[in-house]
Amino acid sequence: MKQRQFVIFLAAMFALAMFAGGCGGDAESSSDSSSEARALTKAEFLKRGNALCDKALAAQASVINKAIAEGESQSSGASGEENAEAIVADDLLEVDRKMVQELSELALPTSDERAAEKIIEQFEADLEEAEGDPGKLFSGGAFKKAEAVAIDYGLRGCRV
Amino acid sequence: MKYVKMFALAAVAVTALVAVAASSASASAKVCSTATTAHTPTTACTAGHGWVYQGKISAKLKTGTNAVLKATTGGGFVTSTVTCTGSESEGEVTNGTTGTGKLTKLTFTGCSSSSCSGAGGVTASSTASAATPWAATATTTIPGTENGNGIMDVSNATGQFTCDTGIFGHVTCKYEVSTAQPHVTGSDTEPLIVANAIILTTEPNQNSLCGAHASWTATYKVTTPSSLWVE
Repeated sequence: MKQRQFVIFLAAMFALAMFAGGCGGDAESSSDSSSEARALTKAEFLKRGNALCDKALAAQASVINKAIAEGESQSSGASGEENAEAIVADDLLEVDRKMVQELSELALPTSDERAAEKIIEQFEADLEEAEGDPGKLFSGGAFKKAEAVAIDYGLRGCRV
Repeated sequence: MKYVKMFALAAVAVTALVAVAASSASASAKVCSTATTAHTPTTACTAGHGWVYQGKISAKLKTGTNAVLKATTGGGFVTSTVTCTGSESEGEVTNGTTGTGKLTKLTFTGCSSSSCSGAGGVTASSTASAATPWAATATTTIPGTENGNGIMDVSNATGQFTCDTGIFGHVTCKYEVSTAQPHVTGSDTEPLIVANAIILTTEPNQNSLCGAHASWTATYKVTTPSSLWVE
């Protein structure tokens, strides 16, 4: 009889442990999705950073290709180019703002936080310059300085 | 038991030796042809493959195929595609015994792209020239196995395309690769050099249409010499 009571006790403990574990899991996943507070390893930072740049590059190319396709019937020439650039500059800036915002929200790698922080700061500075001179968005030089430090750090997908 | 241990050690040693020998064989491969015009010194290759070949090598895009340069993001999203109906390559096998040589020409003609709808269309080119040749070395496809097929290690290849986008004017995309590895399919009648999605890296600070990488796909028929093998 005592043995039976012990088995019931063990089962109850097991159920309690499972319940507590489940609660813990929920709390952890909700904190993960709500912020990037957890520090990242450099490898994780590079993976997430490259993915963000990759997404931005695809969006930029889509904006440009869409404009090219839609503008085929329009006449080209210097004034035509300026006009077309002005039309899509807002869309490109929106893509770039989102990319820089998401990069700045990434938790920095614990190993070399300062180096990663400098890259983000350079992206922010380059974005500010591009906002003042949208022509840079088409020459490929908008994030020239940020690209150099990012690629050097390992963010090889950041050719935006 | 002692003998078993000794035998095992000997087996490991022999395996290592074979591996080294195989890798040595793959480090250098002969270029062979039945073409009788240029083979100095006259060194025989495998039966039916003629002699060690040294001299001019030229190739043209295989009839009915295109050379395709696909620019993509790191994740594979296609930012632009350039398709060329013509492409030619020239070079020289300077040492047929070691399979070394150079590429002195790689040109593209009849190119088009949906991203380049301006009047100027799109032109593609490479930096391979007599003045700036690309070093090339042939090795067998499978180390130590001589089946006539091989790989060409082409060093420091760079190329570009210039695209008239129409509404945005001209965009130039430049690419580089430290070692490109097109495959050689040996044949008596139709030797081929195949670039199967060779990955090139986009040089920094370029338009988004250039992507972060590009893949180069093309199949060339070797026209000189008329037959070719790597062994």
